[in-house]
Amino acid sequence: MTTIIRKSGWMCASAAAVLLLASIQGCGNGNDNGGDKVQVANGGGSAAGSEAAASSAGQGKPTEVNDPRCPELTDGIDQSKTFTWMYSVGNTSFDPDKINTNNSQMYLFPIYDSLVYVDDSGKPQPMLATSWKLTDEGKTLEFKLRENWTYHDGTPFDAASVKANIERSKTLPGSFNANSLESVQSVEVVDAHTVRLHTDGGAGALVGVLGGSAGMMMSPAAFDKSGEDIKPTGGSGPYRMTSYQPGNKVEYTAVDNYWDDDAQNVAKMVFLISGDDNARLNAVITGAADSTFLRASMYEPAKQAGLVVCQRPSLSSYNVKLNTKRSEFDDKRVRQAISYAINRESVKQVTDGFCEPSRQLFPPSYFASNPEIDNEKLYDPDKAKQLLKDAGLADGFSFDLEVINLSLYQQIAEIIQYNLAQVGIKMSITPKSIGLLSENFSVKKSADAVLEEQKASSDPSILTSEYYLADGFSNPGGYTTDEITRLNSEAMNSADANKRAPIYAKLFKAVAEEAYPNITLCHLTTPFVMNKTVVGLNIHTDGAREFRGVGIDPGRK
Amino acid sequence: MLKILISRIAAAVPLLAIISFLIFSLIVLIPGDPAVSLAGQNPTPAQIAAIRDTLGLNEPFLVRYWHWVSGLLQGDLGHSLFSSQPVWVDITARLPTTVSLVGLCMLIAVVLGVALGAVAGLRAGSWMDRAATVLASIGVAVPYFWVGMLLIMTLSVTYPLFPSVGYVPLTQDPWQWFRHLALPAFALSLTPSAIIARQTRASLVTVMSEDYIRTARAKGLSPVRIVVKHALKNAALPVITVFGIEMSRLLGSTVVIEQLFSLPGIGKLAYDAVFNRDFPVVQGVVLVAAGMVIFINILVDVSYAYFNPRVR
Repeated sequence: MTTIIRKSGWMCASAAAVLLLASIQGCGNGNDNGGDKVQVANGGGSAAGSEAAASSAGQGKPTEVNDPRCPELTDGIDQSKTFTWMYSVGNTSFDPDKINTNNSQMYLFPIYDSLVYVDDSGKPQPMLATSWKLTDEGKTLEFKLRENWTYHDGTPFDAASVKANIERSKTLPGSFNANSLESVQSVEVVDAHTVRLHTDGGAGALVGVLGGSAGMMMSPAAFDKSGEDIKPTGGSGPYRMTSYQPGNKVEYTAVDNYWDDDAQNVAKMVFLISGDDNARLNAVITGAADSTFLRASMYEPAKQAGLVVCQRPSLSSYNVKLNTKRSEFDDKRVRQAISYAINRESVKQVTDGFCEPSRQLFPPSYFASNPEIDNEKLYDPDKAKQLLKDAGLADGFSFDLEVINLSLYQQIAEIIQYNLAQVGIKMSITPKSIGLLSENFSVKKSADAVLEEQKASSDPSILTSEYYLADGFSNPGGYTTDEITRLNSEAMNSADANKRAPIYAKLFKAVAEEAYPNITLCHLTTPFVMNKTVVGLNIHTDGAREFRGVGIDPGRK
Repeated sequence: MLKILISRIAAAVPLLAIISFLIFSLIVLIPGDPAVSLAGQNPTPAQIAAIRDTLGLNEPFLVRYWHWVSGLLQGDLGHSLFSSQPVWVDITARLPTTVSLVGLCMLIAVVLGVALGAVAGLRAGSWMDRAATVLASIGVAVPYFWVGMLLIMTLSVTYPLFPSVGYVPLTQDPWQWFRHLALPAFALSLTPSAIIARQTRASLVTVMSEDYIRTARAKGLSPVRIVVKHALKNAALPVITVFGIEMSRLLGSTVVIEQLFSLPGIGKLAYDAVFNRDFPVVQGVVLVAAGMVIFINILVDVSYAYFNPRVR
């Protein structure tokens, strides 16, 4: 017996190794946080809405979603307190150019100020740049810079350091920000506090871009310092990182004499990391954390625990993306038919109400959208049938939809499958791991269509270029028109949201008329949960997890 | 005993070589191209191709394997694709948490399991025996992650006695270290406790009917001395085997429990690495886990020699 047991023990050694690998691979197929991290190809900003709905959809009756704002800042805040936030995934680096995921930006916001601050409504505001203007027919962007400010290591913040930062972001091998700054041809130091960015056109779009990691200012003295990506010393923001346990915890401590008193309402910030939904909610209930984001399934338990729940519509959306080089998708009438055939209210139902039906890329509340588009009837199967008949496809056609192998995406796909079958289109569903979806659709261009969550981005031009230009990453069929291309460029030539809004309204009207090959289903909302002491937390519509100015009011317990 | 130790270590080398090849082969099965994940926003095909080239993903499988193994032989597990940190640094930072968790878990399992098994084995057929058997059956049947969730709901949320998330190193604060690990370790220990209890019971029932126990009784030795000095030592061999197997199994279980309790161990590291398609980290973690399993088995083999002179 002893011999048998001993042998089995040795066999167990190799078997356990294989099993461990198999078990983590198995887990890999069931997690949606990986989606937050790997869908970097979908634009800037962090994952706004995947949290809202990506779990256990369809359970119980849908939650009514309105727009309750989070508690506002009070006079009772205690600035010696710590604010603890808990998120599902960690960061990859503390160097703005060396991060690999959009989510990592969240961990950099306390440390680095950027040239521009994208506020919670998605509009650019002054930050390290106090003002900006476009010249040279939209090709040059001039920034006036904040004076009397230094990096955390004592290096003065000036135009030369801005030039060094932008040039580094463009040229550092593997830089996360290189693509965003592609249009920048050169950076000119006009004087100590004025800098000009010369581009090959569309400089206006850079303003929003410079509100994210591409505009984060890091001390040039820290550029090549060893270990800077895990122990940053060259920050420029209200906090410095003082403790880091990878994958577990990051601690930030307020810097002295920060230029904006309103941004520094707590002495410390702590970001905890856990991929488990319940662990995060329990942490807030037990006081281990002050706030976290909610998935739909956690909404009711959070309310029942007496916690504060607030939410806001985001720029994230669910989209069916069609490859116009495959199936029958090169015909505009077919694309229109699919859009009319899908009952978006049913999609809202399976997301527990956390997704507002729409057929345009951005929600009507965002400046870069056309509110009139969604006034039309979204669901019209009879019209869909007529359009198919007009296209000579009265007997229908078939195609395959690749979806993320998570239950929610498959449930949405099944609704679409049912809706399309009613108008005669046969759609098969192929579940794929999240990593393969973009690869098959955008890189190999082998998928007919995919269902994906489109993440928000800091400037509308990032997504419009991705979807509507001939070489866009999410446009494998290369479908475009001269008018759309022109309007996209025109919108990028202005830095003023008020001037850009009518251009985007025209662009989305043209997109709707052409029935572009991304069919937006609905826009996700972003619910946060927090204990009663948290005040001044703003939910950013572009999905940035950014806690500038958050405070703790102990009297509200 | 030294001879046994040397022979086992010698046997472990080819085994590790085979495992390393298996790990490298299996990793290819994880779907998704890390180059696409790393390419950033709206990448061009040329940028993706350049990243593939930099990572060496275009090289033939065996060439990539050879590069990896050559690095391993020099103590280099490679660098994380995402954090750019050496994999070895990532693993050593997380290892103390997992070792603490598994260690505490096995301590609970041995104490609980041996006590329960001894009570049952020494009173075979009694109500205590039946009760212990029922308890052991429950311990085997109940999923540990479900027990973990139950413990969180009761002892963290409803009655906030233990924290539901996080970890404090032993060196920093032993009491907080224990508080953070108590619930996950207890949840994980139920199955090994039950299996050890069953094994202890079965062994004790057999041993207690042996002639030398009857002789010891006849000599007038006290029951405690008979059980502790004679019976338990001889009953220990199968229990040690179970201990080794359970330790190996527990390493896999940490992937789930560390996620549930948000413990920064190697299980959580592996979990995160899989989602990032961070192949070097996944390979490193699995290799280290396999190495630990082999190490545990060597210890088990050597302890056989200690407990059973016939093995020497």
